[in-house]
Amino acid sequence: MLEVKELETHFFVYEGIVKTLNKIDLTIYKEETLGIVGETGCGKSVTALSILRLIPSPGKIVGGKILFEGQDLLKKEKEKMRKIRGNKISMIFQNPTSSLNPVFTVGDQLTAVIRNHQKVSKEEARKRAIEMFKQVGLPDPRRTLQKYPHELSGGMQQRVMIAAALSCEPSLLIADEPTTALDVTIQAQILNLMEGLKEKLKTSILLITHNLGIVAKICDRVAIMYAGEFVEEAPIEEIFGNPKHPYSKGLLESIPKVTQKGKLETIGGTVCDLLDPPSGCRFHARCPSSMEICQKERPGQTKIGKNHFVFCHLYNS
Amino acid sequence: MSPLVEVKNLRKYFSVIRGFWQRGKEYVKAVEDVSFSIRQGETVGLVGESGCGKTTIGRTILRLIAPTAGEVFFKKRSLFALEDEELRKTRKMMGVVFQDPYTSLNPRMNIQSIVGEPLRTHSNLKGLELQERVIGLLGQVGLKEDALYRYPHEFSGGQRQRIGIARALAMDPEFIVLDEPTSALDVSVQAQVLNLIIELQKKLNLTYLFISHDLIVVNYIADRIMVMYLGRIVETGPANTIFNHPLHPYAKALISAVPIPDVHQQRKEILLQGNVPSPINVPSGCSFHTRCPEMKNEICKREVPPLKKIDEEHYVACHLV
Repeated sequence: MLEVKELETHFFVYEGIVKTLNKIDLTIYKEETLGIVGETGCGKSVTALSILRLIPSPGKIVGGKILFEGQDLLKKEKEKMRKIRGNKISMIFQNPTSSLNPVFTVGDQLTAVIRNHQKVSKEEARKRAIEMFKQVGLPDPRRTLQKYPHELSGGMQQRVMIAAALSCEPSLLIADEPTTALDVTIQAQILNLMEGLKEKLKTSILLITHNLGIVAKICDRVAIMYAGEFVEEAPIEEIFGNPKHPYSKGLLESIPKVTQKGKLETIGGTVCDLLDPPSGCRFHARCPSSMEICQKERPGQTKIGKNHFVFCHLYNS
Repeated sequence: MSPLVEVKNLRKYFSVIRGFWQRGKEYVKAVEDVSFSIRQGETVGLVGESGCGKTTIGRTILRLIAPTAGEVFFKKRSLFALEDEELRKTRKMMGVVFQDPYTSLNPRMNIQSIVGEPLRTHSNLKGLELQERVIGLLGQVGLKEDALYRYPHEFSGGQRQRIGIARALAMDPEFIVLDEPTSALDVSVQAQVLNLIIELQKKLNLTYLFISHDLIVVNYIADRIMVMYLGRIVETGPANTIFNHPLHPYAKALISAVPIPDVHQQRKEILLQGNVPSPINVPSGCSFHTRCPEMKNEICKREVPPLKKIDEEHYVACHLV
């Protein structure tokens, strides 16, 4: 449904060019949940913002294609792009408190979203808003509509955000760390809600997270990112049972296990500087099984199994 | 073994100021009648959701904030009865590592002054001697000598947390309160810091109170876990027991909600309805009764359940158990 090809996003800062996304490829299929996992600063959020063409200055998409329903989003005019955002592709952000406008009631904000994208009367939009609030499980929708964001808890604010994002029944929902700011019991509520709505509205979800637990819980496939590049892409059973890329392995091993209490494996070194990324594979300096070729050539995609791809010279035979 | 830290009926209320006339009428009951003890060399995990009073307990034990009622004994001496000079001496034996390594280090001080500050306050070390000691401390947490004259902004999150740990170790403490030491870090960095924390405990025979909302981390590091809800401890016991067979309905829901990073170990989650009530208006009786999926009896609404002994070291505060 959505295909990203050789996407490059750079940030032009005083010190030079930060190559945040280095020719990445990504495919999202209909009605699936794809997780993007990686550590701080690896380009997860930039990927999401690039898809919506919301990269803030000094960032710029410098190359590649984003095909959505057969059309290249990067070639669309601004006006047309606005019609897609919120309508066909919508987004939920990490911190609901700062994504809602504090001076308008949540009802006003939700009806504004609906009326912006669809030609409906005020009354109709209000009805839709109440309907959406019921769907996301907000208690007493009519009264909640008249509340200001600060009167709602974090979990309820995130429900409002989800209601707004899904109000126009988008075919793709991008959720950027939707539960990071929430407590675990509230997180479970929100994840459950997202799963339920996904089935009902037949939406695809692109879920960005750093929590592999969430991935195991709700994703179908996962793409692991390191320093602006994807290193491995696989169905979740594969990634947890049979990870291939040294970085994926290291990442999985560094999570404390539930059953055993040995010393945790760590990944040596630190994340490379994106201003001056290493040549070849960006992970080679920290990789325990680095070879000579890793320093020179960027590894291509190798197919391991059905839907399981890895970008590593180790599997290049 | 005798307890190193003993907390008895600790309470901490914060008064809510709502205009001049209402002053002192309402309270946030952050910690309500909490008792527990920590033995020498043990790691006790304190878990709960935001606002349940975890951090307040940590800070009250160190007497960084004064309690409303109750007592804390450190090495059998009541901490709240100590005079200034005595308190300073006792404080040497306790350390603290804060959650956010970005705000807990003064950006205008270099690493030598940050790590050396407790030494200047509590000891007579000066000049080169002081510097040597600071280098030793940095070495213990895996930082090199060249860090001395650098400033916090030059370090990554994981390194800053190491600096925070070095500062906490400066006076050779016996007891350290770790308040969410890895919450701001990425998993691979978190693994490094957790390894360091465990290694230091073995080497220096430290006792930890490990406060966190991340149950997977607490289960990994702690010997015993205490689960808090709205200022009270609802269940406490050995880490394995709490994580695998919790008894209190809240502990069950909390632990079932933790997403486990393994496809084969997914658990059936118990979804709680609604939100945590405000700590200003704590529900009567068992404070969890408004959300409890198992509540049957009227007694839950009327009486606060006491912590009942289930097994060796395993206590639960619930009328149903």
